[in-house]
Amino acid sequence: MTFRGWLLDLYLNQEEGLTLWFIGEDDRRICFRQAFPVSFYAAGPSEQLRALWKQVSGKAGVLGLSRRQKQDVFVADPVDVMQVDMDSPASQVRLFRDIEADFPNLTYYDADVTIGTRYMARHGVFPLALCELEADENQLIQSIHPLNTRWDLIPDLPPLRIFELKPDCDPNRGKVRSLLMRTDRFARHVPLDPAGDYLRLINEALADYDPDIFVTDWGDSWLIPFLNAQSEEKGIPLQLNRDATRPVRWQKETTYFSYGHIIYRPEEAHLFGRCHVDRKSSMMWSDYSLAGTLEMARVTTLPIEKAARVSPGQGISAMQVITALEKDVLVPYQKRQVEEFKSGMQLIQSDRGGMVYQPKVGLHMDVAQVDFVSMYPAVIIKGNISPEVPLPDLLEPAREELGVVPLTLKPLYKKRVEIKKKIRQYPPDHPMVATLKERANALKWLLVVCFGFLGYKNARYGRIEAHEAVTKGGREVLLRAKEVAESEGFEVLHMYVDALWIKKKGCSKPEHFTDVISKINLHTGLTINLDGIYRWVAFLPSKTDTRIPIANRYFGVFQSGEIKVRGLEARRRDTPIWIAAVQKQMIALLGQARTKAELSACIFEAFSFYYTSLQKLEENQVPVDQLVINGKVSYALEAYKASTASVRAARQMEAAGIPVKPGMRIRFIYRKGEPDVFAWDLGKPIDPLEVNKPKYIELLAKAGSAVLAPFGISEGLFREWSENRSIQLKLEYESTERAR
Amino acid sequence: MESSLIPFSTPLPSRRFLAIGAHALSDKMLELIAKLSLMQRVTVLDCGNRSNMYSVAKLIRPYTADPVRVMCNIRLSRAFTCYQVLAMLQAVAANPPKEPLVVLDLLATFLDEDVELKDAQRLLNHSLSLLTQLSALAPVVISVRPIPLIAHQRAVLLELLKSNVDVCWEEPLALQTAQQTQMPLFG
Repeated sequence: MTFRGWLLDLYLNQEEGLTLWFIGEDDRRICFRQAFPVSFYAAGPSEQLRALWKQVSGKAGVLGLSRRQKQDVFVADPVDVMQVDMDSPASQVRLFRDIEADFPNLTYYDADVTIGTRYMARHGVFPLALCELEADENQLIQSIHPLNTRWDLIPDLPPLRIFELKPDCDPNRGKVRSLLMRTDRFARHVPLDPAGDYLRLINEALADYDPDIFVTDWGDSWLIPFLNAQSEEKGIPLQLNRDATRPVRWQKETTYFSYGHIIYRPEEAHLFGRCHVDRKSSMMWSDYSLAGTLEMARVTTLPIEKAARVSPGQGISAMQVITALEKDVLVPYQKRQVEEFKSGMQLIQSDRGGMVYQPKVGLHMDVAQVDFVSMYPAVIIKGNISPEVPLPDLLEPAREELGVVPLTLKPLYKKRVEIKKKIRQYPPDHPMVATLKERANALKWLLVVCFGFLGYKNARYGRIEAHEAVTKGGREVLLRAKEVAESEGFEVLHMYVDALWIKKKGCSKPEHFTDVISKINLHTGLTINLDGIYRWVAFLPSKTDTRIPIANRYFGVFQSGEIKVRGLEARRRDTPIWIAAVQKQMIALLGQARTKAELSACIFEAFSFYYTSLQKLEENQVPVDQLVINGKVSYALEAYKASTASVRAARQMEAAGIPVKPGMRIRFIYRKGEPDVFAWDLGKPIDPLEVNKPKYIELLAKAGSAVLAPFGISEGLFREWSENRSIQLKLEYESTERAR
Repeated sequence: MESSLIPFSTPLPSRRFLAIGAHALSDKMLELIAKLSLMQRVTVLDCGNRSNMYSVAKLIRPYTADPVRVMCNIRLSRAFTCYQVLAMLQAVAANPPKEPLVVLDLLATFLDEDVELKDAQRLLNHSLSLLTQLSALAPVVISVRPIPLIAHQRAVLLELLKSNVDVCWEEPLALQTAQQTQMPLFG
């Protein structure tokens, strides 16, 4: 039979190799199976390879052994390898586990490539790809090919059935009394009755609606464990999987280090035949939601459930592996490539980050911000920076043929640029815009991490020298841009890695910046865009020494009215939402000023808003849940010698029997007396009178003073005023201008 | 540069030295590297991202009119996984230096929980035999930090290392605690 449909899910089975679920063009959901033999490789001393050959000959699942020459990305000439052909991915995993233990000193390749990645490399088929396949009467796929590609701008996607299930409150904070079920056909509150009728209702709804995507809140950490336990206890069946032969698959909890943060990921519930997406476990959900998750799955080939949960780094890694497999380059199992020896001097010269040009502290009118489009990926592509390619001379590539890394990034970069162009073609309120923006955000994150991944210890195609070459290229680009801007008579107020803030008397409209942008494009070979023109922007000084500027700590308002804030409390994850909201509103009030002359009145409005907020806090009118601090513990509690507020709150949780893992978010409230913190996730109520108001006044004053700093109000002064109102504040922009 | 801050006095004999302390005694090791580089070439294997060459440059600056030449006496490479540590030592052993070898934070990558303990032990054993081989030609100074509580099951690696050196110096506990004080963000 011939079948056309979209691939939804793919997983291993012990019999034929793979199970694949498709959404048919006729809206049927159909399961197929497919044989999928795989190969892996071993290299090393001949006597060890001979011993390995002897050991694996005739073992279950081994289809054949042969000697080959293949390309290792880190070695100039092809290497001699032993190829082991296996009948299925499951047998390969089993056999490899044994031989790795027996022959630890051999070098292995293609040994841990995920099944989705292998499938993509062999058949060009990826999650949600529209495919045409031939299958026999036993539903065994004989041939398959995709009808679209990962790089389609507006892909032909299936009509997905999405089933949402969530508790009526945060289960860590309160007692859940009902669940909300919602689809495009119905929405219903289901009370958690003692008899367990809710289980029957959910089961019936799942069977009737037969969803493709099962979206939950706290599904991994609470909802699915709760439903499974209740189903077992009450003897009421609950079928969450579409593949009825399988139970829910649990992936272990984990703590890992990513971009300077320790991150905790709870256990994950994975389904077979449909996809479970837990919004609370999806680290990028707030950035790119479901459309971005599906885009991420399509371009990276990661399963949808994984694409929703993992960091973009894993996506980039999968894409690089596909590129390598498509180029017939070996995929190293353990990276053993080491840094070439450098002198101390060379290390100082090469081990640098992005270029930062300290801002001119204060408030500036009519400033343009120009940004390079995905600068580091663009530098990687332009300079052909890849571990196996000789390093470029600044931006001039050492050779034409693209290496694994730029080859992976080029279509991704192009797709994002095209999507952004497409967004600009629609009016801002067009229904396509939100989806396109989410997809562009998902691609942005992949591009963002690709640079860091070059220097990441476990990146298969990482190399520290390549990582350094990217920052070197970036610094060069920024310096060239600065020279061009200055030669065109612009003043460069600030530069930060891939962006410049420039101004020139009489330039306040986009067309006034067209020439300088074209010239920068020409002199760098990279694309730079006008991010916007600020009515005004304020670069802030250091809190400890007002003479010292701080890079990337600023706020301003664009001519469109859009506000931009960086490095302030409102951007920090641990800031209570109420304090962040007060700070944002103060900036919004200042943002009403279109000219210098209007600023004084706006400063007064912003200050009045601050004063009202302060009064609300003093009069206990701020809801306690908006004062929660979102802290974090990075280590096991016993490792802490100094006790921070987060640690003290975490210890309360541990004492209450709630396990605390490194990387976990710890929410707490500052309270009066002892203990001085109150762990929010203990689930107990706190009397608003217990809240430590002076502490919150201090935090509020810090946030407020950051906004008023460009107008000459110091944090100390502002804090003093906030605490006892015994001093008088001068709130005039003009006076601070004179003083300066 | 006060030599009293360095646990081992120079010139060093061709033996294996181990220094254990908070932050793998980075500051002291960088002082040692600076001191050695003023006199001769020195090879540095950085296994824990500890080679702050700006600090070394600052340390040597008062003692030389040609800091660039002195900085060029330092030859270094960094490893970010324990597989790379072994590969790096194999590369050094293939062309062994006659000048001192300083290994910074040797065990850092062996504590990676993604690497099974038995693998970490195998790789460390192999690495130690290479370090022993190298110490026949020139002094080898290794620094490590105490095994953190979170990785206590890997304490066996430090014991293995201790049993494979000639001289072991441990930073007094009081000093370690003083260096670990952390400024709280809130309260």
